[in-house]
Amino acid sequence: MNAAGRTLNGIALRRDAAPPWLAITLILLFAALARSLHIAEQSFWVDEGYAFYHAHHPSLIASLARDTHPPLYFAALRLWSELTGHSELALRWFSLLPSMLGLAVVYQLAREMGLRRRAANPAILPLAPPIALLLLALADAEIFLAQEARHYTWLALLVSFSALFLLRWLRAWRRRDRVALFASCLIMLHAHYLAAFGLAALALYALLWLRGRQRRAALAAMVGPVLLTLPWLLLVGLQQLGNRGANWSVDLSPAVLQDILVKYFTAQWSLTLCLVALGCLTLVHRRDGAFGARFDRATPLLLLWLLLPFCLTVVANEFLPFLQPRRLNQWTPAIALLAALGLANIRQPIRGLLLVILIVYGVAHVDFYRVKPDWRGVAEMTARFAAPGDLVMSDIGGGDYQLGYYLRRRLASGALLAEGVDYESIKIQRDFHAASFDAWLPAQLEPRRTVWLTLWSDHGGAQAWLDKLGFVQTAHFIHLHDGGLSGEVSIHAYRYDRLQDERVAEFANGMVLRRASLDMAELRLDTHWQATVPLERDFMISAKLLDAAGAVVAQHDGPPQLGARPTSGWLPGEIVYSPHAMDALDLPPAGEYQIIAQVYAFEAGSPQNVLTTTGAEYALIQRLRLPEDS
Amino acid sequence: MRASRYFIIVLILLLGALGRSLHIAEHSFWIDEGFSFFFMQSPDLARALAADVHPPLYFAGLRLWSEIAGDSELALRWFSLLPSMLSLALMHPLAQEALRARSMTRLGGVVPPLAMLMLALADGESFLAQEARQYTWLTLLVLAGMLFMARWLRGARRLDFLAWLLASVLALYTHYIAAFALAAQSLYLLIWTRGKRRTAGLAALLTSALTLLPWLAAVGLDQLGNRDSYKVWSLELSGAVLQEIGIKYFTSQWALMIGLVALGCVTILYRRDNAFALRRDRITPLLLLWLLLPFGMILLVNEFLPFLVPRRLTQWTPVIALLVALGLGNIRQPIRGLMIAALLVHGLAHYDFHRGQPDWRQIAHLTTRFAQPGDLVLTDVASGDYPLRYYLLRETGGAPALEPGVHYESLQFEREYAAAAYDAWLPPLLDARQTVWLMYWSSDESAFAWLDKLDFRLTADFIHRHDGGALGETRMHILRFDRASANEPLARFGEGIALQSARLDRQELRLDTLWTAALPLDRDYRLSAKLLDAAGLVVAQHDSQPQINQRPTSGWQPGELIYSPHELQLVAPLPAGDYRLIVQVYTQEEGGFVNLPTDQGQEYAFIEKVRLGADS
Repeated sequence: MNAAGRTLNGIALRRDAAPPWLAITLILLFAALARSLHIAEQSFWVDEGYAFYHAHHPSLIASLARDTHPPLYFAALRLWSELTGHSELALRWFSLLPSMLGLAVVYQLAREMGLRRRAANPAILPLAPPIALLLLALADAEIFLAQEARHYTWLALLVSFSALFLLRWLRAWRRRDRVALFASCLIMLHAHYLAAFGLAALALYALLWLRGRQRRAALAAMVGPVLLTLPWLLLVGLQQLGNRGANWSVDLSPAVLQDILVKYFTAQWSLTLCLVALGCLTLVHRRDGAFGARFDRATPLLLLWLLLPFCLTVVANEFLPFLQPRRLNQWTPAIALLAALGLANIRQPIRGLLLVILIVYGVAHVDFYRVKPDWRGVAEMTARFAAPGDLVMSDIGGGDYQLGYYLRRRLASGALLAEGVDYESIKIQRDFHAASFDAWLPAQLEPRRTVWLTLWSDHGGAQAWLDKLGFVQTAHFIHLHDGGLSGEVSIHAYRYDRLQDERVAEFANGMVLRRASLDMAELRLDTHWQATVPLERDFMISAKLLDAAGAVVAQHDGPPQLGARPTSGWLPGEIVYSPHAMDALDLPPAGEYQIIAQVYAFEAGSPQNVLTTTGAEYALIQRLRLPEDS
Repeated sequence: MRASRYFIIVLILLLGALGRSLHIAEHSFWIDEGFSFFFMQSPDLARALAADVHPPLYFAGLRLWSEIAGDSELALRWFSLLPSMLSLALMHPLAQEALRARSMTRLGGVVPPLAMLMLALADGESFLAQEARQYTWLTLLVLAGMLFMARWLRGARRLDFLAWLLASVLALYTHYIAAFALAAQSLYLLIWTRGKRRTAGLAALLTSALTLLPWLAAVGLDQLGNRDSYKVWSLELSGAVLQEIGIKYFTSQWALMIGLVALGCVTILYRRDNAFALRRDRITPLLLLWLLLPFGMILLVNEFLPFLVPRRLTQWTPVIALLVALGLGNIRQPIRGLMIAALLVHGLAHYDFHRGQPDWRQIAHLTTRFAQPGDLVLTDVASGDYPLRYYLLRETGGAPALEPGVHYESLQFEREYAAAAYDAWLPPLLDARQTVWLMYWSSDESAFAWLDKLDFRLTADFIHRHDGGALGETRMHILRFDRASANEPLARFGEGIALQSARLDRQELRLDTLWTAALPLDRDYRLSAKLLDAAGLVVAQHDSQPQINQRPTSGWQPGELIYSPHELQLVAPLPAGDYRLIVQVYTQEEGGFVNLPTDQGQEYAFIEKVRLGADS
């Protein structure tokens, strides 16, 4: 093998120059940095919540029967999370790892291509692998998807593996490469059904460009995995056929094509496309400045890898809508490879200039990004005020798995919902237990005094039942979907209460304090108010903790419901919930205390208390004794 | 030149003309274009410009042009398109001049057409060629100045010298920021030339600067007080603004374009052994100064006098095109062809210099559609209501001007240019009217205070979302105010709904009605205006919820006065004769229409008899 000039299957074998280790290390460091920077900053979106839901479902198969995915990613995610935990960081790292592995595979793929083109253009072998590595490191799609707890980077990795093992096997004719091809095809089919398109590209290449025993052996290595996927398809896949829907897919249009183009080929798409086109050939430069072009037998594989998944997705989308830019991610390595081969065809100094251009642009621009709705913030908004005994529910038309993730998860740092607060997803119950839903819902609501409902759905069933069971809406918090970027789409969090004939105090301006309860752990006074007459002014509410001497040791003043419900907007008879988390200068020492509530307005710049109907300056809520270490 | 090269140049010119003329009159004028029209029309241009920040040449030229070509949007914008096409033509000799200076005339068949192509594809130039503003003239004159200066430096011909001097003077009289290009030329002469040539060149530039002095003394000094008007639209330098400028002038493939510009700053000499060498030349510093100095000076000046806006950088567009072309000329085939293909495809498929504009034509049309003789139309747009003035006072394709008898005034204009008399001017103007239309996008509330004081009531609020809502919830309001009549209502319907007044516009066959409700209404009633013939058959009709469906009755406040226009549609051409105009209030229920009867128990309210002549 060390003799220069030896060939194997027509491919020249010579000792390679040493790889540029420094460049490779720097590129890998950059790739790791780009993929891990701010990885846990955005909250989970629906699909990531979905991945967590499936991964932790007691019966993965039963859960996936209601879905449209094969099981491998979710099973592996469960194992991974048992090792690393349930945080967003941990779960997303499970996508980052294959993305980093993909870099190594693409390096090897470029080397395979370089070996095939070396005879025509010796410059390609040393140049193409590090350039391919760099271009994949800069690929925004890979960077974005490496930060999502979804299976797309696994899909790209496994398709790359399959292509690499096929090329290696074709070159070296080694059994272990064929076995690895078989294994990677099998794994990728169980990781995502879209891998079938990548497999189709490999199979078509084998059919059209291979001959004789080579063709039969290659096809057998690909058909085998398909046959081994049949048990899953028969067991679960057939049930999944009923779940195919048009949710989240887009129709093919010029705008969608442009979106795909920019996301995968960057806003400099015409340059990237030209480099890809150039990468399909090997340029042979002559001394007189003329040039020739050669086409090798491995290039059709890359072209099929690039084009077939896209075309099949577009065609299939006409019958089963599922076109989404992220679902095309398996072609990212092929784009990086072909562009790298194109660049390797170009001589200096233009190659250097183009590399600088691609690096500067790639570092400065992000072309595949999406602001995700802040579901963590939505969950925190409810969790902040829900008290033990409360029921928290969600009903999000597109799926509330992500809310379930935040409201149910238990991290080492603690849980979002306080102990004793229950959470239920109306959406999951309605979708997956439709038959029992109508009985389930009232049974959940009936025993409660307070229900929190996060709502972004057309279904009004829960609100109808709350109304029927005597609950009244006492608070309404609004969260703008993705920070308002997509317009005024709002996510609503409601609080519903059932009040008996409670009455704590009445104030002279017509305000009645119907209920007040203290959350000692948070030092928060939850109050419910009512106005007997329309109020023309905006009154402030003050909650105070007084010590035995009557001095204030903790206090919160503010307009009702954190400013969301000024008293001038109250309707007579309406109940308004208003939480007041009191700030204490120091931890109150042990002793006797009083909790009081006051109502006041500003007149000529100074606060004027509204007296209670008994003439007191404030309403006494309760006396309490704080022990040591309160 | 070979025929094929001519053919390519003609194709590029056609591409440039197509890119610049396509949809040229589609978007309505924006504020600055309305401003151009306003100044162009001023009887005393110098006096009008004393209240502005521009030199006079463009506006004087536009006035002459409009006398020949008319004052439609198309005509006024063509005055910007023409210099843009001339610039395209001048790119060819400029590129040839650059090649001569580099001793690279063998690329004469490549670089000049490429420079033209790059300018033809430049989105900044295409966009500004479709605006009735002076920026393409500025670009042309700076380009011409650079070309003639380069030719004079090479050949020392008096004709080139005079042409350079003339272009410089015209550029300064077109836009003050032409001074930055002249500064670039001066710096080049100072540093890269010697002896007599340096002296003569600097004298030419000094002379051109001195020719501006009379104007500056007569008007420019007055303009100093108006420099704050720049602030309204200027941007502070930030990463986002730099990115915007980068994309607008270097396209969204800015990294490639900047790379090619950098490559265009040197000459690459390839050797047979695949090695290469770089060579410097004397024209590149001029090109670099042209590229960098105006930008650098604008950034610097912007710290003291904010006026940074991407379009004000347009004078560097030709030098970007030229340097990119020179950069491409440095690349060998087949990569050069590939790069050209990439730039061409991207340039044709992408538009990077877009800016959302309010549709002032449509906004004006909302008022011209409903204002009737005797009404007063006021505009108050803080940033300037010049485009509204343009569309309100003149008919444009498909959109009529205000009818004769409708009086128009600009509050913003009066407040700015006759501030002392404003408070005395406004009340009598309003007091003489029964109906006032106020087109409002401002923070000044003086008109509201006076309308309130004079017993006007808001009866309609048509909302136009700025830029179709793309910029968020910025809204322009078209408000109608009416004085409540002390007369009895024309008709009373059930549920407390009363028709206070009705007026028929016979020309438009539109019934303008004013309504009130005595009680809150929990249903959405529809209103119907019908014209009945002698036999009681409907010959014209209009049904809708009140105020063109904008004010459903369930949202009416008791006592509120609601304006609702009804444009009657003819069933067939009407023969001359007597007709009856009626109004109905009804709901649409599952079983059909249910009329709300009048307090007289009638199914409808009779408004008036209408006698129509033939051909109505």
